[in-house]
Amino acid sequence: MTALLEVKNVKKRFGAVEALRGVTFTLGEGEVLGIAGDNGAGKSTLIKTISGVHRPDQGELLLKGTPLQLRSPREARAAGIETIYQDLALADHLGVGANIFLGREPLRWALGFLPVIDTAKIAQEITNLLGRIESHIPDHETKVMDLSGGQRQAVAIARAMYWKARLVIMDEPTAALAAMESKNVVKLARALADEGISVIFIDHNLPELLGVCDRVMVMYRGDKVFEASSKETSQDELVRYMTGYSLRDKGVEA
Amino acid sequence: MNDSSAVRPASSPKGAQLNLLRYLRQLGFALISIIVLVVIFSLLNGRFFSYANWYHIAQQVSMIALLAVGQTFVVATAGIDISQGSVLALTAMTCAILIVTFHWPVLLAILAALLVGAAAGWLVGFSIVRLNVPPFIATLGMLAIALGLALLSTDGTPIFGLPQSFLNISEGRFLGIPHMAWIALVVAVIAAFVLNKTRFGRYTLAIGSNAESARRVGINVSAHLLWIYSLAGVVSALTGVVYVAYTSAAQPTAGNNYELYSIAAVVIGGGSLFGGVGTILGSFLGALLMTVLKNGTQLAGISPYVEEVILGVVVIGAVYIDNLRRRLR
Repeated sequence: MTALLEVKNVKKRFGAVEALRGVTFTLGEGEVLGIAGDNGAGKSTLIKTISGVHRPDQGELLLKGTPLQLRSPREARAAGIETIYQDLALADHLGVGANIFLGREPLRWALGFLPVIDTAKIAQEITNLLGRIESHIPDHETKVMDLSGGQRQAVAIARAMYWKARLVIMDEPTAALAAMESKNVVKLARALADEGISVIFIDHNLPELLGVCDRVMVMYRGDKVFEASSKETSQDELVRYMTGYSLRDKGVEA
Repeated sequence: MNDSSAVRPASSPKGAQLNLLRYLRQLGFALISIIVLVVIFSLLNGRFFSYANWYHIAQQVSMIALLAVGQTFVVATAGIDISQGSVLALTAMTCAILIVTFHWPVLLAILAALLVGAAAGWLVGFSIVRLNVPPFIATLGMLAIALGLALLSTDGTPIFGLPQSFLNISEGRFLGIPHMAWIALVVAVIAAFVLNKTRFGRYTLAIGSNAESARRVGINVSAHLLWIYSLAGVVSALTGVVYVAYTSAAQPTAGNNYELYSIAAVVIGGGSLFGGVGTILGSFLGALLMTVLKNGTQLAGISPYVEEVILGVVVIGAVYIDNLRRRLR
């Protein structure tokens, strides 16, 4: 598997707090990488660094081998890094199609001189897209406010898929969802990977994390302390690293 | 049975149907209220249902409808413009002074008035996006500024003696409908087109619905709001020009309380003060409702002071209904 993203020795400090103490990892194309860790372990800081919100104090990010200098989330998007936030950032009053195309609406000329939004094209593209991801969203005009939590996740994921994101960061996407809907979101994360899109998946629900991810890593106090293929590790092992228990056991310097 | 429909009713209607239903419910409310008022006022005074009176209503509604068009865009962004009435007064004075005192050509004076409106709107927008003043306070400030300037311009006295060519804006008619109503109709049609069909309209609703989401997809929210408030200022100025023609005089107290009519019109027409929603047709019907109310109470011999009280109650009631609507969806 070729590496899509390489994170090398990234450090970030907020005043006296060392949020990231030199994190290094690699993410393959079409790979789903899970990040586990307690609150305050540095997960948020790490993904915010990758999505352009924070700039690392030290270390570097490489996307397909080329160094990434992200100054804003917009630049990250332009580079193909899409973050699906917990609050989703969808416009409730707009339709599904309007949301997926927001800011990038296709235009056509009405009466030969008036630039108007090409609704027919949006309808067609969205119908195809929704068919591809089995979202159970009725149609492209459905307003986001009429959707369930899982369907909203599906809209956000569909947006990333349609705009050919290379990396999708999902920050606790199932935290507020009913069990059935969580399953759907997990399926969507796998669907992204099947299309060759890499996914970083953050989740407190360890069985779910092990189920969806190819590989998992554990953060502890700003460091990556563990990394393994999902098949070769267990929930118990992850918990031991998340709580720092294993580190004391082995006498590893944290 | 699929996973996600398990948590929703099995026979959940298509999104398009749901939207249509919501739209009809909004317009239905305004329409039924208008019909009820028309019946009541016709019973109270036989003259209410005459051509002469409807001609008069058409003249009055065009001013409130114009303001309501501007207000629809502002409210759709989750803002509010309470400076409309006094910007109307300031631009009315500007236009009349340039024509009567400085003998400017009518068209040039109108253009200057529109520019003054744009400047007032731009200042409001600037306070909102650069100085982070909430829209209510920014336009409250502009209300005082514009009213003060309007009073200053002639020390509070009205201006008369406008040429017939100018007065024709209100007195002339085409197909039995006053010119000023045609102006309002044309502006409303353009506004409806922009709101529903263009990126500008789409971004207006998106910003009102979720400004953060608009920002994240790369929409320049600040620039967009500056445009919205500037254009709303131009529309207020256009209303000022029409108002002068309608009353054959410009007075610094012109348009007093008109922002309340336009806010009520927008909310009655289905717009939400919380942003993201609003239709021009709805606001137009809302404007018609407010005009019928104003005109009917006058014909019924109800004191203009009582009319003010009714206006206040209607505004609060309309916003209360907006709250209910948001809860019910």
